[in-house]
Amino acid sequence: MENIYDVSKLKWYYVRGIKMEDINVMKHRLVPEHRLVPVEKEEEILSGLHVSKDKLPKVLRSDPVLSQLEAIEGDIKEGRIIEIIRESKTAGKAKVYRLVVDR
Amino acid sequence: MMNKGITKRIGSIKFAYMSPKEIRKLSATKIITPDTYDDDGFPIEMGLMDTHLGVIEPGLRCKTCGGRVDQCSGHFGHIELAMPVIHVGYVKEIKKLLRSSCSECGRVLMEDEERDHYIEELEQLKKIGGDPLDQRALAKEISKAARKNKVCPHCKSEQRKIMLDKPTTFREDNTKLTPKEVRARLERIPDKDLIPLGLNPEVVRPEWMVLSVLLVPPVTVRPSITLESGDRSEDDLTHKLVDILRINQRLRENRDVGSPQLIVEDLLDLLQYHVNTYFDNQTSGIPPARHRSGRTLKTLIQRLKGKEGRFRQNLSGKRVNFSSRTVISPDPWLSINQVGVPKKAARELTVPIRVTPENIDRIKEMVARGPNPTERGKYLPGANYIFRPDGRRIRVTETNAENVAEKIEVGFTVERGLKEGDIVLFNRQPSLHRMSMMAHEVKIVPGKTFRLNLAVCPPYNADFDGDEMNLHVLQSEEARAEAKVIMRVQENILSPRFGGPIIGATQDHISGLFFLTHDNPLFSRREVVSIFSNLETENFPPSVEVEGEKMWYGKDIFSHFLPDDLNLEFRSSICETCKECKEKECPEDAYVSIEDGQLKTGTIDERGIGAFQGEIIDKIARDMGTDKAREFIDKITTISLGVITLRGFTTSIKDEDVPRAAMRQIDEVLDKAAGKVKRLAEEYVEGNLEQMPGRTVEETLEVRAMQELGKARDNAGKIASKYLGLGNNVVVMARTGARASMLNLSQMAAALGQQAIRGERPSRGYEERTLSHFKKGSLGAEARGFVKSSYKEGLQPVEYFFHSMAGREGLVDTAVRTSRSGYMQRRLIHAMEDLMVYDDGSVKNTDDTVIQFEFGEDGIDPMRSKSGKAVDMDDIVTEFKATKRRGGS
Repeated sequence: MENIYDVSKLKWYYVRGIKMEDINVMKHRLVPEHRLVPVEKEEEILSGLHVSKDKLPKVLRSDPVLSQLEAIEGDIKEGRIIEIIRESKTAGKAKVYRLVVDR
Repeated sequence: MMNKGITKRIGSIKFAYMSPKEIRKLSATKIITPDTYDDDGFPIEMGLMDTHLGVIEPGLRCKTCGGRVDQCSGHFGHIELAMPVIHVGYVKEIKKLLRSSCSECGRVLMEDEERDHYIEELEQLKKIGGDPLDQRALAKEISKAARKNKVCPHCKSEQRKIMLDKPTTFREDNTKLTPKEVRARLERIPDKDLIPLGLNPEVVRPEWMVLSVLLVPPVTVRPSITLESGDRSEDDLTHKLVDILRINQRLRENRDVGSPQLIVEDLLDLLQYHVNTYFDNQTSGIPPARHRSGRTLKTLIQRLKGKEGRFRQNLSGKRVNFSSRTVISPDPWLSINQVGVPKKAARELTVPIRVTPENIDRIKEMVARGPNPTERGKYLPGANYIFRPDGRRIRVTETNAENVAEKIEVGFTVERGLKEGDIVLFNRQPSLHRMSMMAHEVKIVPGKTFRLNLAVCPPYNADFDGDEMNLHVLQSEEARAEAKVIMRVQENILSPRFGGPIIGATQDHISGLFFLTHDNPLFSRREVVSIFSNLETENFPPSVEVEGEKMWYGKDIFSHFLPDDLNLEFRSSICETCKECKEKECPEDAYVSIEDGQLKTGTIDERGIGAFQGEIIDKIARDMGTDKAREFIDKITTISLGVITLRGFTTSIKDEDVPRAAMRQIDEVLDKAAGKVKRLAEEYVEGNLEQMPGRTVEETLEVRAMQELGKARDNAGKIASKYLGLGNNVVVMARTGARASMLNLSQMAAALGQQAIRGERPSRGYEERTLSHFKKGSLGAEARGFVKSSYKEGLQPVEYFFHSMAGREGLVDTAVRTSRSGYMQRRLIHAMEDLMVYDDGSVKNTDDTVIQFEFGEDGIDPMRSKSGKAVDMDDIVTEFKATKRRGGS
């Protein structure tokens, strides 16, 4: 998908006239890095966190970031895990995991 | 991990409506007479106090179960309503149902296929575990979709708009729907059509939302009180039920004799009103029912709702024994770990002691002394009660003490009064953080107040202007052990709120240490003895020889109480943050340097030992343990009070004296600023004022004027403080952080400055002016609340007026702020109360959903952090320097 508007450089912009699909939210300075966790690594991560999949925080499949990720990774099914690397005031960088859910 | 110790688990709770059939089945008796008691004072049969409903008078027996007062918990009765009445609690639901079902055939207003589709969708939602809230939201959506059809797809009849007149009247295109009609319509809705509307037809029929039978609660729920005069006073609910019965009877009579429609309708409305207020006496749109005295009645909803309702008052709130409450007062001779308990309270509050073969002799001796023993006028703990293993309780009195003591055997429990060293919990409301409740050791004191060390005022946020505090005596060995390990005051010196000490010196403690350490003064033998006399036993610090006399340096006295291996460097509170810090050569003696427990340079003030900021307390508590920290705080505050008692500390109007020349300078600065504002105002009137970006011209003027006048006040303060040095006690307090600020001082000595209302210059009052003393449209400094006078000079009447306006606003703000922040806190607590940090560092809620993967993202315990930082670089550097100095590597 081609991005007409480079959000990373924009500070102010008018939403009117811009289609959501044209914006790559992942490039926005407030959107942290998202990655799709490979299915093989899921088990390792979950056991490291001592949790089962359903206890993870959720992210909607309809989330704009996911549609961007799908452009790279292909179709992302419900039940996959997304890794988010966030800038943290306390820890510098913090890794967080979210479960993809429908609806 | 999940099912530990749980034998029974609630799978689900089902809520449904009560059917008339169910109500009649549950009812012990039908109630028809509005009278309660006959002339002899006995409950009337089929009246509201019928003994079938349970008994509240001793001696009587319940006619339903035969139980006496405390055996029978009461039984429900019922009232047959002459005509159906709408239940206020369900009006919204009724409205929804009426609107989304056909007024003629009762079918839901959609095609069968559409309905089935929605049923399936709901089923799907239930299957994937959507909670009842989601289900309700979906049902609401469905009924909204149904409402869109203006013509019934089944019988093709046209649907008219149904309106709800608050609280319980339904209208269909301006014709009133009687509850009877509403009921008939709800009856017509077929079972299957209820499912998409969010009702479960297996347990609920919508017509039950219109009452034809009213459930009457047992008398035990609404007991009547007999006054001393012999008169009976009935419960509010009984009053309301009497009203309902009266109107119900009149309505029935009128309907049966065929009275005019109008009269019957009026009576029905009245019945509806009474039933409404019986459920909820605060519904908007209708006047609340009142008692004869004019007091509004407390009916069913009022019993449950709000702060004083059943839930918050009686179910979430508990009252406890073994606790006491009184006024607090300060006691600097107590340790921070102690609390002074007056004798009277100590005798009343008890600790249970199990009698064992080891302690039986001692306990017998103690019990034999009676409940109020003393030894040469001094307090001794006595025993109030002894408990035998069979549960019998014997009160120990002066007369039976020796007899009772003889009977004591192993296995008995004795409740003895408090003795010194007992662990108790001490608390001050509002309990905003965990340091609001800490464990203290008991110290018996005379008087009638609880006493505490001044250094523990900050965590409790206590002062002594009439504050009261609560004290709880721990009753089990486990509780005492746990309290001692994790709740004791010394364990709470470091606060998890900001990663620093919350216990430490305040006010005079700080001024005292300033006088002890600033510029290192010398103290004579007499003085040092006086300062040290408040401590138990203490060696003297090293002395120096001055003019043949033994003298002591203040810094040496202070260093005497520092741990030997303490190394610390920081800037004092009196530091003026010069451009280039000369560190140890600081001319103000504001750079504190402690080498191996010796205070080399610097002044000890708030940054050194103050609560919230004290670097020394922080370092000792962190590196050397809480015992050392407690000892340090105890000793240093005592020493500080010794110093300040010796020197004396006072303030007077003289402290605000400024030389005439300076006053003239201040006036000049203020006049100049006022002139500038005048010119700005002129420019504004002429239209020459240059607009600031993003602001209107008016705003520009205000901002510029505020800036100008703010600067003027600061400059005036600066001029004044040039003449006020550390020889001035107010300056000492302000600079050391003991109390007040330089701003307070300059307001007293130089000028009060601009008064603000809602952050702006006062602008309202008269037409186009604030006060009638000014010309219309005047925008100058004086006309908009600039106060040139200082507190010392006294304010001009006009200035005083503006000052009062700002003062009142401050007062109102604090009142509003506390109540609002209290509510915000309540909501936050509610949202987070059952989150837990697990040992792997994750934060989870009760169904084990992860909230944070690592506590605070970095897994750092804020209590053990340095102001939130995991690593304290400054400390590492100082420690490194110290090792190097000692010749280590």
